Amino acid sequence: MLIDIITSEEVLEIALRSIKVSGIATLLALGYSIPVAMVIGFFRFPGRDYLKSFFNAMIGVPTVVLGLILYLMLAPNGILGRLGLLYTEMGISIGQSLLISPIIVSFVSNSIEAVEKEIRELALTLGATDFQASIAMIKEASSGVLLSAIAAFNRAIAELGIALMIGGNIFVRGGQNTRVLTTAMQMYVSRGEIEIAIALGLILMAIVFIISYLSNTVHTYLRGET
Amino acid sequence: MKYSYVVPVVILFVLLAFIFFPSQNSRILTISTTTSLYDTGLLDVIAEEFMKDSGIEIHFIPKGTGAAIIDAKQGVSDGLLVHSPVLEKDFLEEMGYNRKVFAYNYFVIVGSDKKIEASSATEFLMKVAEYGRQGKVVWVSRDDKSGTNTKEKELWKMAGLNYSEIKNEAWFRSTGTGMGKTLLYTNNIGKSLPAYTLSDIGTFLKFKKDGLIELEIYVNKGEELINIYSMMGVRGKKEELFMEFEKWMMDRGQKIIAEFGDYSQPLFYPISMADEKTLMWIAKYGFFEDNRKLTECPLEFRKGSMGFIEVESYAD
Repeated sequence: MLIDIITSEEVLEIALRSIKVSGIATLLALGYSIPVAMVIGFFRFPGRDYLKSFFNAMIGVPTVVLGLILYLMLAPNGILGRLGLLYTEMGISIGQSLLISPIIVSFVSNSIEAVEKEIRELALTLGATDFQASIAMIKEASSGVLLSAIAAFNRAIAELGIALMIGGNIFVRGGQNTRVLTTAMQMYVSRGEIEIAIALGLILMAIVFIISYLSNTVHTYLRGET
Repeated sequence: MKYSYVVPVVILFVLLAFIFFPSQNSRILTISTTTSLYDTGLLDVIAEEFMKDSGIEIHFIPKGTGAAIIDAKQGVSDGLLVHSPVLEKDFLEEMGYNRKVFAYNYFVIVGSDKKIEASSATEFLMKVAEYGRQGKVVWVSRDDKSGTNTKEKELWKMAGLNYSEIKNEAWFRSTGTGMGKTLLYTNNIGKSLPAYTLSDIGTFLKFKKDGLIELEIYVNKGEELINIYSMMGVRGKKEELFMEFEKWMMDRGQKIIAEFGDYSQPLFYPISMADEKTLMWIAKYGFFEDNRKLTECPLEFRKGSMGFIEVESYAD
């Protein structure tokens, strides 16, 4: 019974959408969070400590709060309404990317700080330019980037508030849908179809565990190489 | 090495292009709706069948009736499928058009114990309050401004009790959540003390059939328990598509509604099958006055070539 549910076309589509939506969210967040993390990691400027504590605090932002703010902004009458992002997959991705960005900024800037001193001096004494020395440091900090990406992805795929308020849990056969694992679980629980909800929960757990396992493997591999 | 930064930059640009040029299918209707309608699965069938017939994709966003109206005010939805005539009236006057009643059924008072006997909903509620104050029974309310909750408030008023006052009494429990969870809560509480709640028939039958609750129906008759589902468009929002949907709902949709559900009794009755007596009840509880007639949609809010039901207003 449970196997039938898990392998049904509808459930697979929902699971794949979860991975896609949160995957894009993670890529987006990496895209703009790494530069921010580099600035915080490399440079000393006034207000830097405040910036760091701001990002640290934002790691725990409740998803419903972020979801509500984004809903009001993205609704057609809101200030970003023209983008037409409410109730779309891309809307969820952007919302989740904002949610997980602080995780990446904190992780990456910390790991840059950790390797900064030794590597920069070593690279400079070996005749590297400033730019090359920075690149060398990012390579050193890459395991931090990977870890942050995994933590961020797991937070994104497991959150409900944004996916529900920005996505709307839309499902029409063959349409532009936004139903993901967490919103589907929520719906099936409220419809009293607990079995399907359990099946979806198992899939969600499996995704999180597999991703974490893979990251551990890659992490060990990266460590072994350097 | 020299070009290693190119890849992420390209990815970022592709994503940005994706963001600012989202593929827009203009043949999409976004409709905010109530959870009691959505959770039965009826709207899944309607969306699928309507897409086959017209190629128009309907996105149903389930919320309570109150929240669905807020959605529309935010400019999100092109139409509403709701069941709260009182809230609908204000909305219609502010920004709606073409309100059509498309289905009805009856609310039921359900509970865990046959402690109270009453012939009507109002009599039942009076007894609930009486026994409640003696600590013998509890009443569970959704208290979430949903259509069901609005109906509950009306019933308390008819029973001569003040909702905002009894809300603070010990026997009155608010869940602030959907119908399904409220039924489960009533079921749990009912194991220690007789507990009752007002439910739409659809959610109740579904939960009962799945063996999730042991509650029984105690009152299911009477005009005051009628539950009227209507649809209306939001002015200036994809009006053509919405009117096409409205016409379809009055035609092929009626048959789908009548045949929906695999339970001991139908979940919804299409309006086209209502007899004279029922139609008078619907008019009394779900129509608005317009030019000394009762109608589902006053003249000034009508658009297109739809037909609307009107009945002569009668002295009550």
